[in-house]
Amino acid sequence: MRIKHTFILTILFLVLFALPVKAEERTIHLYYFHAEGCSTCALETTYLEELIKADTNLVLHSYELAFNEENQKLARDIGTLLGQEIQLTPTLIIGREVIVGFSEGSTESRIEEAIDFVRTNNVRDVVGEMLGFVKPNEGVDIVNQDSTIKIPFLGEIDAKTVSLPILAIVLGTLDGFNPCAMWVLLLLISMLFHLEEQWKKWFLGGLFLTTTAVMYFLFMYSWLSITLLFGTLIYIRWLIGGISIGGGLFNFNRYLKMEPGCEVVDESKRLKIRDKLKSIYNQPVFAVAAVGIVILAISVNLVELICSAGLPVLFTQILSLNNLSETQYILYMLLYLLMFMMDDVVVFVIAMKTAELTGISTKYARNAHLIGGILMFILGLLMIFKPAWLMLNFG
Amino acid sequence: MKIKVVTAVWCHACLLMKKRIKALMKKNPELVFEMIDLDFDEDKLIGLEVGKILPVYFVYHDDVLIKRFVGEKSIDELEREILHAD
Repeated sequence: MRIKHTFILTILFLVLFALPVKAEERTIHLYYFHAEGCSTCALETTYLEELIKADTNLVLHSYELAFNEENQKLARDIGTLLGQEIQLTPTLIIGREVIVGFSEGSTESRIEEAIDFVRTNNVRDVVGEMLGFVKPNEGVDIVNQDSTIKIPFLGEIDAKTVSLPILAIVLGTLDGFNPCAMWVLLLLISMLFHLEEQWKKWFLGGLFLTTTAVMYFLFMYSWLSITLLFGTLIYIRWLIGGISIGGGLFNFNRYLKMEPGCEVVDESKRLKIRDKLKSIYNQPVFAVAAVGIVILAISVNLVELICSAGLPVLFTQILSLNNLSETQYILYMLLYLLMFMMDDVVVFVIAMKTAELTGISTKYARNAHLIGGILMFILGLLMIFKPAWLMLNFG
Repeated sequence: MKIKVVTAVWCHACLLMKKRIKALMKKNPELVFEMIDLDFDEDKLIGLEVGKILPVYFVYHDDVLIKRFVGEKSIDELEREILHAD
């Protein structure tokens, strides 16, 4: 019996001894710039208040910027110190990391990661030194640069090398290989060959492509506006992540099952569009033919949009996570659109120059399904579980 | 040997195959190809089982259908499919 007690006590002693002693944790100062009347700031304020309650080693310093001139000057000084201007609210500074904007879920995890980084690496608080909250030269002067992502089969990828422009180029190109609306363009070009006047061929074909591009841009812009309005809701992000994962699996399935050839488009739809094109082609008044092309392009693209909705929806959601300016949003969407339209434009120009239609091997479309599928799947997972990693705007 | 090929102007694979068929015809002048457009040659489609994938090839020997196959093929694959159709 005594042996048994001694054994238990020894085990207990060893367990207690082996338990890591919680080190005295240093106080971490958070510098929070917000504005009265800013709804996003209100969301972040609620979140930060809860965070402070839960972790007593955090100290929140709040500065109102809309009406307080002293705080505005302070924001300018801190911006100069960190080499990054504080222009938008909410802005939160943790260590040397400046977090602009707030999106439920994604920014929260970014804030928590930044706090962990400061705590783990004993990061120097330069802002605190300037404001007199901490002693000078304490801690290590480093910036959180850990942005590597482990992807199965591909290994480690540094997220900082994957920027929004690259994402726009890759996703736009993959989306462009989706042959949903391409068949109508080819049908149109084959009819344009019969026109005698060269300029009419260029004009009608160009009009079809321009209308397609404008439609697609409007769709992306509308979707971006929706995500900017409601994108902070975690359920919307989950929904888009889910759509992306579903789209990824769908594309992968298409890759596996796709035969090297063209799938015959539904006969009634095909013949209807053929007859519309014939009537446009036979139209004696050119202006009416041009209007007919625009109407056709709009109706075709409205129907075919659903065919590739996953990629532009995913891209606009990623854009919305990055808190960009209006001009930046538009430029990134235009870059995506440029890549999306590239194959159509190339096919059209070659056809017009050579008076012959050029085909693209189905193996490219098949590979686009594979790469697009994998990308959508990974990005969908990140959207749900690690949205902070999709903030690719590293300035 | 006669081969009927059903294609469409909107089908990339068909456009590619037209060029390859031309090359094969140069190599094998005894092969006779008849190109049929799915959207514009409806009368020629009667009796042909087109199916879901284009292009579709129907190989005839003495006017008897001996083989049907589909899809994008390399010139060598196409030649093999046709010459070993029996």
